[in-house]
Amino acid sequence: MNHDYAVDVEDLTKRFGRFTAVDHIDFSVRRGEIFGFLGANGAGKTTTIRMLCGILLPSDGKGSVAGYSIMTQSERIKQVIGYMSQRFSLYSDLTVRENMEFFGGTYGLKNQKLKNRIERVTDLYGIGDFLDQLTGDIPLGWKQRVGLASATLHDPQILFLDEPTSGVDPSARRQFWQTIYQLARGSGTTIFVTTHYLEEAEYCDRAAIMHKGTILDLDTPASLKSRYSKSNMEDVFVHVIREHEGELTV
Amino acid sequence: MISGIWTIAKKEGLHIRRDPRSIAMMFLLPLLMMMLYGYAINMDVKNVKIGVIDHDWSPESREVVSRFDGSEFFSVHRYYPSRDEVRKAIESGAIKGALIIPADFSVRIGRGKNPPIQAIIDGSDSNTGKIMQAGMQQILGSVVFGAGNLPVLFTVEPRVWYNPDMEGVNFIVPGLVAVFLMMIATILTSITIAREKETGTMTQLRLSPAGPAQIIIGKVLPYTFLAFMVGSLMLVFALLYYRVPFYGSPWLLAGLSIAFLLASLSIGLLASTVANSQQVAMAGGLLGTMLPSIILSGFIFPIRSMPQVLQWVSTVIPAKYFLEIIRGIMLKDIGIQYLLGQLFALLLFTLIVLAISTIRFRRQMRI
Ligand SMILES: Nc1ncnc2c1ncn2[C@@H]1O[C@H](COP(=O)(O)OP(=O)(O)OP(=O)(O)O)[C@@H](O)[C@H]1O
Ligand SMILES: [Mg+2]
Repeated sequence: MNHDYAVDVEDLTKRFGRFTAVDHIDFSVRRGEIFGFLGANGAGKTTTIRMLCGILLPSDGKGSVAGYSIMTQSERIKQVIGYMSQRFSLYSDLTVRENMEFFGGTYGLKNQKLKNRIERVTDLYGIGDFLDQLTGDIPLGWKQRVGLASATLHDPQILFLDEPTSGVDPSARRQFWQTIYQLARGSGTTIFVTTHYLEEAEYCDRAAIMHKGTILDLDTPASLKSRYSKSNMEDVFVHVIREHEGELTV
Repeated sequence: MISGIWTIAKKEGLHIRRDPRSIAMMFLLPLLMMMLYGYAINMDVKNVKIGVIDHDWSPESREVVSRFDGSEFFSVHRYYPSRDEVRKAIESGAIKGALIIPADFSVRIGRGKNPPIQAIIDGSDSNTGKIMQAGMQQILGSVVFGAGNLPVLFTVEPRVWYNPDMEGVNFIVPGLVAVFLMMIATILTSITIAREKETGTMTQLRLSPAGPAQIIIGKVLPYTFLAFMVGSLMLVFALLYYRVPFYGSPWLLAGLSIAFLLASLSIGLLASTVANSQQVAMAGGLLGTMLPSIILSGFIFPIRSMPQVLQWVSTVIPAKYFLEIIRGIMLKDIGIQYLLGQLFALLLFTLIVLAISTIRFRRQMRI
């Protein structure tokens, strides 16, 4: 396995009973890359992320994240990754600051160091006004930013974002992606992001089209569009899926 | 490890502080139950029907019977010829107790001796039984016959049928403490984990470097502390309000209750590996702990008088052992050397249940 890759996966498979949610997928993500996973509901995006983050054991295949094996070194992996899920998952009865103090604490951050980190992400994401409000009381768009702030407190090498913008209005989504962009370009954080807003693929360096557990195509948005001679990613996506389903029914 | 546990425990403390209504409930509900219980006692005991076996049939014996009949505690239902008849009447529920007056009653009064009157009390209803006992003592103590100028006192030898260890309030109140401790510890533990599953924060928690052991210990600590506080409050209430005696060592009781709390918490953990929602956790916790702890632990129904099968079942009810511990220490001042068996049973129970839940938890962590 090549250790220059932030994520490197071979034949990764997950079966739930008879059902195969992720079916022998291969891909690699370079360090510092923004890597997108596009797919409809049930495509297997979340399942893949869960395996990469070390909270779900693959049924088959192998993979490494930040050079650590996802089979045997999940404890090491957890130290160097950040994760934010499609379901907002901070404690709504705690203030923003308390949430950050807590999650920072689980990474062993404390005292002055913890304070400094909280100050830094607060400035970076502009969430100073909300620090002492209960997390449950702030608007959804801001919650996503707070989630991002909390997921990056410990300076992760790789950030996994599972449908981070789902349910957020378009302008907040644009802002969110700008922040992600800064994060990747500014501090070299690798971003692994899933989405079913296909136009968001334009923000990615490379994107994989996932369908029923398999990866149908993987390339930069520009060359995907030119290869299928489409003007936007939505058309590319629809085309690729149609082609695939056509093959199956013939 | 330690700082990870502390981080989780601190966060759990914040949840508790943000939810003052639940804490209030947790402290008030047990006290309310204990008050209601006391109210029930006071209501119950009026004109309790008793029977009489009078072997003497003298003016003196009739005087005693009329004192009973005239008191607000008792009313004399009828006379019985033999103990067998009395036993049948108690079993059928016609009477709650009986007085047996010996044949030489008046003769011994004439000699200035203390003639024993035997009192039989139906011990299956220990609240009433306890009050009846006190009532009989009070009435018999007030009956004074003039033999010369010497007052004659009575000796009461109450024989309690069905529940020979009956201690009434003293017996029930420690039981209430046990049942509530168990309920609070179990339900809080299972709810705190089910809530994180429900809101999705469990995933976030599992993705953090905090390990399963840290998460579990960190979560359990604050609630152990809370349960401890509730238990102590209940005990203080019992001591002040019901004047339940506390003969033994509070430290020994505190130490052994940790074993009991651990057993309760491990059930809570097991429930949380099954339940995915707070409601299920709550319902499961209630059914799984409250009913067995009340019915099968000896809290109300003495284990000795249960059918054999239920007696076997009771050996896997942690509350049974804690009841023996708390009653033993409070009422009989027994030392640790007599409680090693109970301690061992509680620890063994904890170990087994904890092992099962850890296996289930691990499996769920990485399916
Ligand atoms: N623990 C599980 N047991 C059984 N089936 C599961 C489990 N987790 C996921 N699945 C199934 O695997 C498939 C892929 O699910 P996954 O959550 O990975 O999809 P997704 O691409 O993230 O979709 P979404 O856009 O809805 O989040 C779905 O059909 C889902 O029902
Ligand atoms: Mg998903």
